[in-house]
Amino acid sequence: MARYRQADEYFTNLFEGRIKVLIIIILFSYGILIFKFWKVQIAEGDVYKGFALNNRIRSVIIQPPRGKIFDSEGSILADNRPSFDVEVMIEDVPNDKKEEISHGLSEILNIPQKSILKTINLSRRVPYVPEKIARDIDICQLTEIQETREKFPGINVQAIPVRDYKKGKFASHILGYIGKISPSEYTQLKEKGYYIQDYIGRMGIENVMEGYLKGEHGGMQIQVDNRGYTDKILGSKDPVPGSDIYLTIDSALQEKVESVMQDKSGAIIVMDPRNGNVLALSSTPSFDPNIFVKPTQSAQINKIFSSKKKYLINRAIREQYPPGSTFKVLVAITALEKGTLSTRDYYFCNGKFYLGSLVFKCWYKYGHGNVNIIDAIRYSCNVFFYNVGHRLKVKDIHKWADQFGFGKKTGIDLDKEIEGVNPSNEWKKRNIGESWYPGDTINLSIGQGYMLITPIQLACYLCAIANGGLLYKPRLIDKIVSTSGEIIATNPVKVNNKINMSDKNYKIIRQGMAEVVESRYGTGSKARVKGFTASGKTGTIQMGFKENQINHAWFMGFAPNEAPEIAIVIFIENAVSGGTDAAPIAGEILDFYLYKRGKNIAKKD
Amino acid sequence: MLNLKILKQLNYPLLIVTLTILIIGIFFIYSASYQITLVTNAEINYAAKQVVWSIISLIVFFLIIFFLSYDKIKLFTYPLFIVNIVTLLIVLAFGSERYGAQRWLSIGGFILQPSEFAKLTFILALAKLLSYDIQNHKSIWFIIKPLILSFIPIILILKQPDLGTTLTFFPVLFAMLFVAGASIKYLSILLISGVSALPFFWIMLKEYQKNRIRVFWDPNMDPTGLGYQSIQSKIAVGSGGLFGKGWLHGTQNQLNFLPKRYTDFIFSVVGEEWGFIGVCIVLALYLCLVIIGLYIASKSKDTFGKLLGIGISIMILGHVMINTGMTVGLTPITGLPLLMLSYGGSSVLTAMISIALLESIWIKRKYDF
Repeated sequence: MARYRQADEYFTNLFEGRIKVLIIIILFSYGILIFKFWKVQIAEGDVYKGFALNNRIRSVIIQPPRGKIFDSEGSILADNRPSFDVEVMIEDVPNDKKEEISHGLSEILNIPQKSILKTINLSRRVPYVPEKIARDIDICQLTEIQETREKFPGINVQAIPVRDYKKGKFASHILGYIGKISPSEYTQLKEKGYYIQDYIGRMGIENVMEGYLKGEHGGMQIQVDNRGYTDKILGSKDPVPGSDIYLTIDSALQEKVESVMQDKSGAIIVMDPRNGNVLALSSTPSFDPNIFVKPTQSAQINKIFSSKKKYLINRAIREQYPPGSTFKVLVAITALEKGTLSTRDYYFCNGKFYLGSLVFKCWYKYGHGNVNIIDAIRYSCNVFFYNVGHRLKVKDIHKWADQFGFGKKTGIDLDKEIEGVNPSNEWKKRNIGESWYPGDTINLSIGQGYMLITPIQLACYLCAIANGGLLYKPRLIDKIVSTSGEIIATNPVKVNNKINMSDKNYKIIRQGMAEVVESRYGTGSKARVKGFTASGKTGTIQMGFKENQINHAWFMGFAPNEAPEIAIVIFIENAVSGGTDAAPIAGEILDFYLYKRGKNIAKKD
Repeated sequence: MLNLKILKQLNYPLLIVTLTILIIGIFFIYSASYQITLVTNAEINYAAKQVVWSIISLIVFFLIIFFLSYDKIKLFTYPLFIVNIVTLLIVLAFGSERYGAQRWLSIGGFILQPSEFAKLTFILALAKLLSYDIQNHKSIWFIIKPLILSFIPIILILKQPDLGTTLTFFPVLFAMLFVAGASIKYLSILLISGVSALPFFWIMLKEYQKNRIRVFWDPNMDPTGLGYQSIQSKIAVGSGGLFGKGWLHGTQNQLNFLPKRYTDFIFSVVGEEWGFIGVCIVLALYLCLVIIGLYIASKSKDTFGKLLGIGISIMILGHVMINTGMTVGLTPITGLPLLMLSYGGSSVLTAMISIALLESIWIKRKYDF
């Protein structure tokens, strides 16, 4: 012991000195530590409080089921079904598991691992909004994911209501389709309560009635744990489902109308001339709106968008054609009302009409002989109407065409309806830069030339002839009903124009049109059906020149003659003539209508 | 025969501060594992386990006080050190791997972490070496011999790999050499060469350890992986503010955002639920512990006792600095528990043995062996 005593005494003094230095170092480093805690907790505390809130509170949007669309008899046309979507909350995926998760999911879902990884690694995105990995997975895939859920942190399967067009292509141009909103649309739409993942009506009723159909989003504020699983629901608001739309469409008739067109391009409109109700409206070729909802259909979507067949164009309202001979009725009305024509006036048709050096031909090159107004409508004699038109001023024809709604939108409850062209002297100066020549009037009097109409305009005009002068606004929507069954809005019958025309002249026109169908030599005799007397008018228009010339066929007709209750407009592209192509189809539809009406009457009795 | 008079001679401030920290620790382990306890219907109850470990540690504490004063331990310091080195070797060869590191040894159902005890046997061996060599304190060998002694456990523990425990060895070594009277010149050379040797040290590190240090500089480098712990812990502590969110009410804690929260990151829970005030209270308690330890060392008449007291105090300080520092991004994330606060048998046992040794030095402060 003594060995160290000396050393210990020396050491004790040294020790006291050095331990003081040590304590100073300790206090200094402690100071740094406390300062750091002060900085994080007090100086930057609010920032971290915000982070902590972001970490745990999330808003979850609950999509409202879209309103349904029904036909006039209450059977469903556009419904909703659950789509099981695989979503990823990127913030909840552990970094070292990305590879494993994407591999596992790619095996179950049959999608390449790369694309899943790409979604998981998305960098430019809204934080804490789930990203979709796969949509509409089938039930086997769903159960497989649910059973092995712990292997997939951050991955959730969400049941989301999606549109289901029960009958596929059925009435697709009426119903339209929906599509996901684009980021640029989102910036405008978010104020109206849309979210980036929403779908919006793009066409047809889906588009026009978007405000009623979409409903209101619900939402939940949830507290989540570190894996993103719900820990507690802090508050929730139920979504308000969209309202249901009831159409005036008669499904049975619509089905018939679609079946008779087969693979022809064109449009058919069936209306009730007593109120303007649209009973059927079809445009062919048509499309299956379901492809816009289902995933992995981009090839089909591309085909539909790019094809020359113009699948998406509703030819009934969005394409304009010359009215052809269907316009002769309007020329006759003008002349009758102006007093430049009566039933006693006869013109001789030898197949040609001369205007100065110009020659205008009748479709029947041997000529119809001596014809009056009734005969002329029956045979659709061009020369007669050249003569009648020649005695009229274009402004009179323009005025009467305007009375019947040509050159104006009918106001049908669909989007992107076009106006057509109701030409006049001013119109020609404005648009062509030339003044109106007499030859233009001659062309106009048989519905060729500058006059362009849509099938729906023709249908309204037809109804007005059938019902004695009421130009109805076509009525496609019957009523809007909330999910609780309360009627939110009705769509009252609306008359666009009351045409002031004498009963006598109506009778003349109606007689001519009746003979078109009922007379042995009428151009529309192929529309004739048993048990019904029908009226009509055919039309054939030539498009293009010589070798490339194609004909389009028109037929318009109503029945029964005593008290018309159905009006049909048929337009067929690339046909021979209205009488041979369009009229028989009208006959089929009339026949079906009669059969159906008979059944209904039998049921009532 | 129990000599109950010893109880009267205990340093009570030291004991009271220690027990206070232990009790606070149990409360926070309860809070940090509350969700786990709920989910498992109390089948896993870490707070209860910690109570058991605390009781065992207290028994060990009193066994040392009554039967094994530090001067008796001094007699078999070297054998203890060698036994510990052997267990470290066994861990490397047969130990069970957890969280990617081989640190645990299971003996008869107990899982022990020999590196925890290595800190103590190292301090004991170092104190003994220095105290025998004290008259040569100006010699360069006074520094070189302890260095060789230290390198054996440091290399072995680094190999496990356990960066955190390794880091605590350096301040302990340095402080003990400094207080023992090593020449400032040689110490400076040691420090400078140590710093310049850092690149070599870097090469020796495993990739995940390198990443931890990289992430320490920039936690956003890997926000969902390694940086996740760092970021979530900072959010927890920071969102605690001045008063905290209240015990059991820390959202970061209760909603499972904090990893390892009842072991290494227990202090984040303190920061979140008790706020800056709680942080200051707990840090002050630890500072008391360190200062009392140093006071005991200064009052001891025995060189070995003095150096042992310094070593233990600095070891506690090292744990506090490294562990609490990592919860706010001041130090890199290393797997180091906070002595007496974190859950874990080996860590509580090491802490209580350390305190018992300090008490023993205090009791025998008047003696010079």
